[in-house]
Amino acid sequence: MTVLGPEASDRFACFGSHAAVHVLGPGVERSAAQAVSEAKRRLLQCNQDLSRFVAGSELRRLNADPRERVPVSATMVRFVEAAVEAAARTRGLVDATLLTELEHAGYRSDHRVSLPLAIALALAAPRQPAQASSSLRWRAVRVDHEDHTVIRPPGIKLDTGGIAKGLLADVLGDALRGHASFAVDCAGDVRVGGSGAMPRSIRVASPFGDEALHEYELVDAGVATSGIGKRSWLDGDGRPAHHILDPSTGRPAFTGIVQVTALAPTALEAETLAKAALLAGPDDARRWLPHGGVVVFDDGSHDVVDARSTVLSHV
Amino acid sequence: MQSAQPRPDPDVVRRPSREEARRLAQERTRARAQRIRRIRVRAVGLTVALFIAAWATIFVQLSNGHDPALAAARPAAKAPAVTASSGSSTNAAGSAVGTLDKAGVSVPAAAAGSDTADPGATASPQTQDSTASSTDTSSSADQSAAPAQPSTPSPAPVTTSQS
Repeated sequence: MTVLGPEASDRFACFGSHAAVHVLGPGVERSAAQAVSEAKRRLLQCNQDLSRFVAGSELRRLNADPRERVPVSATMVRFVEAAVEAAARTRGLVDATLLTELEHAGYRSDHRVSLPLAIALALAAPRQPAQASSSLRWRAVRVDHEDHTVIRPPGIKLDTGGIAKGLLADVLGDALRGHASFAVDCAGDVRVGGSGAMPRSIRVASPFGDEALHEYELVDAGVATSGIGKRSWLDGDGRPAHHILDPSTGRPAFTGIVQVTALAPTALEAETLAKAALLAGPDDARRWLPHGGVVVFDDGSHDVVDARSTVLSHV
Repeated sequence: MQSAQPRPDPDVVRRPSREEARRLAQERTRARAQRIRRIRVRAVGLTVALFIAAWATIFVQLSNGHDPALAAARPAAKAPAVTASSGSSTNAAGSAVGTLDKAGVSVPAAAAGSDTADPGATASPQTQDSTASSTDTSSSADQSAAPAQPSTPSPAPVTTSQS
């Protein structure tokens, strides 16, 4: 019988927030501690490449490149492909091509201090569900796997946002699959699994405080939380703003939902579903949570959605 | 006893008249009062500014949900009670155990310590028992709940929140 030993863990600043890696049990080639160290190194490196707040990052070079076909790294190919897939799956509701609108709304730097959620909600415009943009810019973005290039009309800028976090949680999770249990937490986008099939407790935090709204015991799954309580500010006109935009207006979306946690087979899928549910508003949020999740409304109440409450393909 | 101080030269220092002395005293009194008022205003202003800054800092921190007192008071070994139904239209139990296969179908979790990594594997009776008993959300974090395997460490809980 293999001795698992204590779980190796590390929590560190990343993605403008915090990331954490937990590994239990040795792998084929590495100990748990070595696996955590390697995962941390890869996460920090990917954050350097994919952040628009890091000078000289690959994302900034891509967004500034005047060419239509831009050679990029394998990581960037995966991200762009994931972003396009997320937009296609949500019919443009989750749109990574809104960086220009995001910067226009005031998100030009990494907001470490956020506007208190209660104040933002009190000052916000009347609630309405978000809709896809009629421009459908994301349809003009594609990747070429053979020569590792991103193809898009110059001027379309991409924002990694939560898509990169979900993607990286999955990529690192795949690398840790040989260990008895692992969890990769990329600032709220979590991937858990492991060869030991050991249940891990996943707590859903309230956007109004630190208390846990719900708790899951998951063996192999992705979990992601998307919300408007963090990275928020007052814009130049004194209006509350945050980083999740309504693609149809290019303005921060106030739909009546402040946070959604989604479950899915992968963290990337969970991230896509959580954001789509938040943007869809209270009436349609459940349709985007086929694997279950937690929806938190403006008034602080929340709704735990059962798995398979609807089938996503019916949307 | 007589003082030995020299008398001032009358050509250099003229003794002020009574009127001049009164005016000089009034000016000095007024200047002193202005200095005192200015110092007092600065002290009060600085105190108020410091208070507002400290108050605003603490307000923003607490509003964002970072209450150090609450964080320190929560022991890690005890999972918080699930509050899924408080003030909401909650329709599910406080916790769920399972895995998601590639088709998105939720299946019961395999027993802890199992060697299989197949997420779509059919649950054994033992697995089902494990699933049923784990509806108590604190059981997985409570070492005393699994006396048969005292040496098996439990995976640490992870909190998902918006970032």
